[in-house]
Amino acid sequence: MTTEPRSFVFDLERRGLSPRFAFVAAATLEAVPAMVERAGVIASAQRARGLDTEGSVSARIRGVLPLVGPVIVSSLTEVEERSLALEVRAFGRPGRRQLLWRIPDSRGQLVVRVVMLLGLAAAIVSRLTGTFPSLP
Amino acid sequence: MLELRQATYRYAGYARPVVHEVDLRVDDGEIVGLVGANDSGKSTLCLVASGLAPASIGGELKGTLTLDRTPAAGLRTYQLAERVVIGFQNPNTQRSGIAATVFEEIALGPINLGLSVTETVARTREAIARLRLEPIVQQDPQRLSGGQSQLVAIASLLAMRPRHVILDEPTAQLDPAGTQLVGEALHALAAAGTSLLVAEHKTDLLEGLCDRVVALDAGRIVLDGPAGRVLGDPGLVALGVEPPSHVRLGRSAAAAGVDRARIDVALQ
Repeated sequence: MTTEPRSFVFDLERRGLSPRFAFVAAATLEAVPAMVERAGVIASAQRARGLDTEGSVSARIRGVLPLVGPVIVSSLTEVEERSLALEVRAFGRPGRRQLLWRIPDSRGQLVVRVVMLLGLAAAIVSRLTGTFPSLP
Repeated sequence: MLELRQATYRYAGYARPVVHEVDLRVDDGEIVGLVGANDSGKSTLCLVASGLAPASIGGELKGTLTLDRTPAAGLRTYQLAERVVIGFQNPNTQRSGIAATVFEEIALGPINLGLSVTETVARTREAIARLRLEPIVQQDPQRLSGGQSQLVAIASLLAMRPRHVILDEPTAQLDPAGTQLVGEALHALAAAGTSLLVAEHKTDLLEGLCDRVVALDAGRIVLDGPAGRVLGDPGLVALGVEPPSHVRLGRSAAAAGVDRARIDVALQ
């Protein structure tokens, strides 16, 4: 992707998305690598105690199954402390926030956006009025 | 000033309270240490003093918490956050998970307070300087050592410029240099009038840091007094708290038959 997911979410907040929703969207995107890392740590711990995670595809799937529970449970047990830590930092306070990030929006991008919107409108109008040839 | 009066707290779903009839007052500019064995109710008392128990986690509080003469009962969590902050032991659960750099992580609190960009940046820079985090401000907060994460978590709280700070084992993952850094930052906060409550196992740190120390046993305050007196109390070991190293050394030497006066001279 050319746009960083975080930039996208924070720009949406600047344009009026609620901070709560922006957080959920951003945290979800950031949670994936954290989850992968956690799974890696748990897999290493299980391997150290003799879990076999190598070999044929079916053997590997059987090896991964015992990891699913611990990964999910350990993520859930931290939820309360995580939410407390966010509340300590005034998360959920009503009102607008002044974000530090300003996503650059050049004149060129604006022109392209307007042209695309005009193109879309033109396509819809021509399709409805039958002036645009439909594909066979 | 932060004051608990006759505070008895029971977690939701628990039959019995975990802290009992606690009277605790932390004056402006005062640092109070909190010691006690594991399971003595230290962390719960910290949560109660922060107002998050019961404001966020529920349960039942009898007695009162007052923050600068404002009763905490009825305040929403974000209103509490403007008055009191609490830091936990595990820095990994205190990361927001949405910041790409340490700077953004520390700035999150001020941003949430709705401050102007100038003010947010000023507070963030101040917190960074207090814990000397300048070399890592551009790093990814997920890729720090345990000690660095802990310092970032504390800096994130300081950037809120709170009037009251509660820390539950803030130096658990820190090396001696990091521990000293936190100690200096807390001293500076107290000098500026902040009231601090610090739960710690490291009694050597508390002795140098605190004006007063409170010892907890089974959810009740059993010792309360000047740091030197409480940490030198003969009953401390029975409470499951390791006294500061010089106290232990003095006792071992005395038990070995060394003259008390010579021990004191040697320790000086």
